[in-house]
Amino acid sequence: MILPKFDYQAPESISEVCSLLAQAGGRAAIMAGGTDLIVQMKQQTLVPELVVSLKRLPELEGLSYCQTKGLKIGSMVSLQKLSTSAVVKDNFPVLAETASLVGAMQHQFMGTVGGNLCLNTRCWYYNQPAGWRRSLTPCHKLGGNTCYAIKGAHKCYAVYSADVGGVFFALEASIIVTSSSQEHRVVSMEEFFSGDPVKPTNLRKDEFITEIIIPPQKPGFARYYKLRPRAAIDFPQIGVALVAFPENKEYRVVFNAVDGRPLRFKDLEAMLSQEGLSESLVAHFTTKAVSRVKPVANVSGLPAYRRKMAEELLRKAFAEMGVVS
Amino acid sequence: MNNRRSVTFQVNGHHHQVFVDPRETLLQILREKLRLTGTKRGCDIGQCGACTVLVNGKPTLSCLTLAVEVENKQIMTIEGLAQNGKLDPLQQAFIDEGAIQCGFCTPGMIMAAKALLNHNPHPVEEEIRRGLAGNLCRCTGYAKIVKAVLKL
Repeated sequence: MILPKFDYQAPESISEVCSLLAQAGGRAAIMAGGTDLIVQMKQQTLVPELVVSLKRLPELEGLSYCQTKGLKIGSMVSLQKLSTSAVVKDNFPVLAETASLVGAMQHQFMGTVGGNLCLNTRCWYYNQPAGWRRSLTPCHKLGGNTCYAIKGAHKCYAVYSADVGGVFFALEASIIVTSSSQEHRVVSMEEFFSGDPVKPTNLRKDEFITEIIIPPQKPGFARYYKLRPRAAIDFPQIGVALVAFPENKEYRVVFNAVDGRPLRFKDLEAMLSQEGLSESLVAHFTTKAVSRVKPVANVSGLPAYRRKMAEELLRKAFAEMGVVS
Repeated sequence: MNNRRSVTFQVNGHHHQVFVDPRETLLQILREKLRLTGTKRGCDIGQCGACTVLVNGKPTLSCLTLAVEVENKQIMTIEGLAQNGKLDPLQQAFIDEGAIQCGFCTPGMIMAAKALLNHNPHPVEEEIRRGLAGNLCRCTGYAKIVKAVLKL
């Protein structure tokens, strides 16, 4: 597949990235590892005029932990580094484990933390070569007003499939974003996702992620389970994260790859923290939470199966925590 | 708009300078300009692993790597493994174990195994299966490939 025409720049300073983005005025794409962007450019779902590579910015590859500030991860840290780093394994083993579940070895060496966070939402009818899509009028995600996943739908249902992104959401990470005016702003995970699969993040066209910070509190229990057709390489059909601080009676549950953003139901989580955790309470919570998870037929696996597995994986997480048998 | 620019890099220890368009991938340059056709083009979208090469020792999908990005990098392809006419032990193990049928996946498979062994010299079967998971083979059923890598 031949890539569409574009210009390429690999700046060597953050300020240079900023000025390039300012000049491009929204016609540029930021490239981290390229494992998502290059595929989309080949399939012509994204056709930027300028590609700005972040690969010559070693300052974005830092990875450190401090007890007061927490874990700081540069946006260009590779998923392989995240999955093997001692500092990550010691403090947030769930993160190391999750990074090792993304794609295969090659993707983990090439792919980055920032890139995974910004993974475009996916759908069977969107992630196809230009020739495949030629006979169809554009769907919502391509700027049209049709949905092929759900006939007659007035909105897009593409799913957010980034495993690391889902776990960051459960760990309540903060994202440091730099803009073309060289201003830094701190974005919470809640603010980061727009909820609209057409444009899944609230990042402006002139902004890019420089760092991710995870607050220092160590969770008492944290797991991420990923269901996929081939356990070795595929995108998730469903992801479930459970992060628990039993001493503070705080429980967070995130459902990933079922919506345009990771889903978390704080009103239901409150139910878990009010009373002592019992098997029946967990079962009640699981039923209520899963009833709000509504996968549609736009990635592999039947929606009913994916929903059932959301329930199973959540039950498995609570079982591993020792709350249910 | 002529976007061509000069890129210098090493392939299998040999110095190269080529003029590339930003649109050209490392895979295209290796196969079409340097005529190193050992590296295969499979899916061309990073799913099959047939185009795997080592860039500065890291397993890399050359179909998703822009040629302009390999400036000053050291690339190793399947052609660089044999030394003085003698096959690399990994290549020999693939032959001895009959781990090759049609052979199309083999270069990517061997380069991925090479990267795996560089990072983990004595992997157990589970680690080999996980390490080679990004390389699809439609013939062998993987058993003999895993056996070949285990042999080292």
